[in-house]
Amino acid sequence: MQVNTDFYTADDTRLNGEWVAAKAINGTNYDLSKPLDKSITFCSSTENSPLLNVQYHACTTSNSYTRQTSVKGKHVIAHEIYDYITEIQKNSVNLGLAWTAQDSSYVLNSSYEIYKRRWANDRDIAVDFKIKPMMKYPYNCGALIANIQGFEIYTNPEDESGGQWIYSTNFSYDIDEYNDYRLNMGSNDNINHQTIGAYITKITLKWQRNSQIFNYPYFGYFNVDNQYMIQHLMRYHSNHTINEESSEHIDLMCYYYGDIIYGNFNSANGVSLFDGTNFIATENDFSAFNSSFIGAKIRYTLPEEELLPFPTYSRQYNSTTNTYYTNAGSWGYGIDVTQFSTDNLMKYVSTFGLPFMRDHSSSHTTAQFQQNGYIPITNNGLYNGKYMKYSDLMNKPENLRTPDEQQVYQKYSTGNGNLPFNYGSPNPNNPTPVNPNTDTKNIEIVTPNLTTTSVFNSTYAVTYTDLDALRSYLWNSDNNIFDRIVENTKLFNKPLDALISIMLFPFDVRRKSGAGATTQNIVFGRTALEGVQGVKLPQNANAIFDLGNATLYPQFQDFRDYEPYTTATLYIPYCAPVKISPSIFSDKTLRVKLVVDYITGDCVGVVYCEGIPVAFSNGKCGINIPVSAADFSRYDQKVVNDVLSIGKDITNGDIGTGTASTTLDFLQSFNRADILTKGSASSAVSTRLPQMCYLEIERVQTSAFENYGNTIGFACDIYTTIGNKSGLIVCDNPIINISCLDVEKQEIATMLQNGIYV
Amino acid sequence: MDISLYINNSDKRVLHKSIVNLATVSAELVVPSNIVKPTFSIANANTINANYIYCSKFGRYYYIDEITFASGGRKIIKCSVDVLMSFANAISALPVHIIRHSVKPSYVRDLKLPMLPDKKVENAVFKGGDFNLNIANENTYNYIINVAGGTQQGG
Repeated sequence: MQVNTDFYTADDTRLNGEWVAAKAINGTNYDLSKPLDKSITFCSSTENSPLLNVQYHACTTSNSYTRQTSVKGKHVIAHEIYDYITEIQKNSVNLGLAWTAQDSSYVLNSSYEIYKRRWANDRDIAVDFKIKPMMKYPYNCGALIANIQGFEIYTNPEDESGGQWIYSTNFSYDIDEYNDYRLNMGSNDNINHQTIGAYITKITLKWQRNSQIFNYPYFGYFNVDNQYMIQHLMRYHSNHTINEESSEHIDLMCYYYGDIIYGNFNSANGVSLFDGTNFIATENDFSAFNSSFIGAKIRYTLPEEELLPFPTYSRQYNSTTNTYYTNAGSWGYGIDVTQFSTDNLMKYVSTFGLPFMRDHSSSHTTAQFQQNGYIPITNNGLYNGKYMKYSDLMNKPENLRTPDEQQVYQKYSTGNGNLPFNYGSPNPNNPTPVNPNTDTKNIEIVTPNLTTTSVFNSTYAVTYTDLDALRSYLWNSDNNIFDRIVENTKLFNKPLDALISIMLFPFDVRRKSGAGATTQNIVFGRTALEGVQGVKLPQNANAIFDLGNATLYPQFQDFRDYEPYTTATLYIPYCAPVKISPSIFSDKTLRVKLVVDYITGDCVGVVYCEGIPVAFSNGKCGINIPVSAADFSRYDQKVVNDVLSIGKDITNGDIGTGTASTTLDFLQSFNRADILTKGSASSAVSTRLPQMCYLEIERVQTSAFENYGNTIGFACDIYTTIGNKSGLIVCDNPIINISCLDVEKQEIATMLQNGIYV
Repeated sequence: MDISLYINNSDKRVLHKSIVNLATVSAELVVPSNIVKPTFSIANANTINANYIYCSKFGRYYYIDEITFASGGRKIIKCSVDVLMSFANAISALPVHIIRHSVKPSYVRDLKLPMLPDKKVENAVFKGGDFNLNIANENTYNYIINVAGGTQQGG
């Protein structure tokens, strides 16, 4: 069944109402077709004090209820003492319960003023407003009935004396629709100074099946610890009347009532589940909601069936045993507690289409709901008991969400289905902006499956020994082999063109290339070079290097930790230095990853802060070893040697002949600046620079003397009463609201601005 | 009227002064006077150590600015009101915007805080990285060779 969940939005302006003057239309003297966009909504209570003046009944003697006045004007702790129950069964499963109260005398007659009384002018004939019920009784056996009464008085609007209830009206209406309602005045003769206000005196649910009427339907359940909790479902959603500015939000209240005891239970007698003496919510339970609740009774449901109410009975008190017991002979239905699991219970709650919590202590804040709350998920647009944890839905990848989940997700992520504990927007005319963006706390480097490595050419990781073997093979003394090499490279202008590049990297490439890389003969052109091996890099060879992390910690814990007093530069090997702004990164952990291009030798240092890349620095860590492109007919050892010896010759400052030096010399002595084109220095030079990242932090030094604070004081920006401070304080533009002479006020102001000692 | 004589050991800028009561004496207000800068005449025998008084009639505390010996065995004491002590409770209850205080520096930039011209430099080294040039040898795979290669035909 479909449930109205459009119960509250931050920009809800429905609650501001006004008098509707009579308008002649089509021969009638009113116009209800005019869209008012002013309505009241039945839903949970509000942060501010409702206008309730709930009175509760306490059973003090047998067969009677004593009406007691509210404990507080705002917090009304109402409890009724019902049948006494003994020990709760241990390890019992949770029960899906709903709670109603019987009509008539059991009803706690509270009235909600929905339209503030005011004087009527001579053209006023009625109060028009719209009513939109929040929810529907889930088992399709109820229709919401509201009893709205008008109150007409002939004196001051603020004075109830002499007033009388008039225009009692019962009406029922559809759940999902705004329903027009008109409360007519009597004779507005503008002589007797009539006023009119509108009240809701009852919100009842008519259970059609058995024609029982239940006021203030609630939902209650036991949580996993067998502690009774109750959710208040039906309330008047406003703490003001519709002709006053209101500041509401909806609470889905979970009241914790502590350990409930029940024991030998005769459901046939309609015994309630709990003892009213235990069923007391303390003031603290209401602290977040400033609301009230009405006394409780429990009724049972049969699994998967309709909620079956049963009336309660007044208690009989046994003064000897100091216990209470119920009257026998009433009807009721029992429940097999084993049939109703926690999951069933949560499904039941979900059919109301409302978000819910499972424990009272965490039900008070939006942040806690985001972590622990549940939201119902529709099924083809209807709520049939499916639910999800709010955090699970929010974190579920979009491509995995069902259409229903996506709809609910958008509702809650865009603010159209505000979480139930939204205290942030008290004024519906000034809503809190909703961030339409998807915030993320983590952006990682991508490891692509397709790269430029080993695409049309072959890329091998080799050692110096392998390069030596390559040279030897290419200049093979066996003419057959040599000729075959030349033959197999005829595709190229020059045979040596098949040797595209040789590059030196400052790390072991094979270690980074992953387990899939295996050693194999290098294929040169069409020739597999026997005895010349390398590790062929796969397409997705890992080319990301983690260079570690460090924290830009705030040494001073004050303004000196930021620019210009503290500056920082991050040095990334083979890349340009990166300026780090303490204003952004103070007390944050920086991590650097180097992404390398195996083909060009280029690299990019990626600076992360708290999982987000915040800076990029280009560089080059691969050192090109120039490969001669001479005509293969003139290909000779010298040319090949050039491949290997240029580096060595470079080390000696000579380009030309020369035998290859030792490997270590070869590796350690590059100093050709023109090899590189990017970065702050050539990669060859960079091989001699620090091979790790480091953060250079420059901090200011101050020279405040020992008693500086009490003599000069430190800058601050505080607004507080003077008595809350001690020591020296210097004030700015103090307002002297003191009963003294003006000259004294001026002196006080001057002294405060110059500084006083408290 | 009666005035109470005190010794005040606190700076003028202290809100709640530390005062030591000496005596309560009878005084005459020398006219013309005003409530902010009154002049009292007291008997000469009274203590001359006091530097602070309280006048209950005016409900204010005063600094003794000047003591003059007059004829008739009188001392003339000129006073000026101590607005802080006189209205200490009301001042304590004032909500104010405080821009400097004696507590440690805050995140508000303090241009008065003296700073040295030289900065202290720290270097935080990142832990991590795989560079190996300092330990590489002829058998480490520090080279990448890119070759044009197709179907191998054998060596």
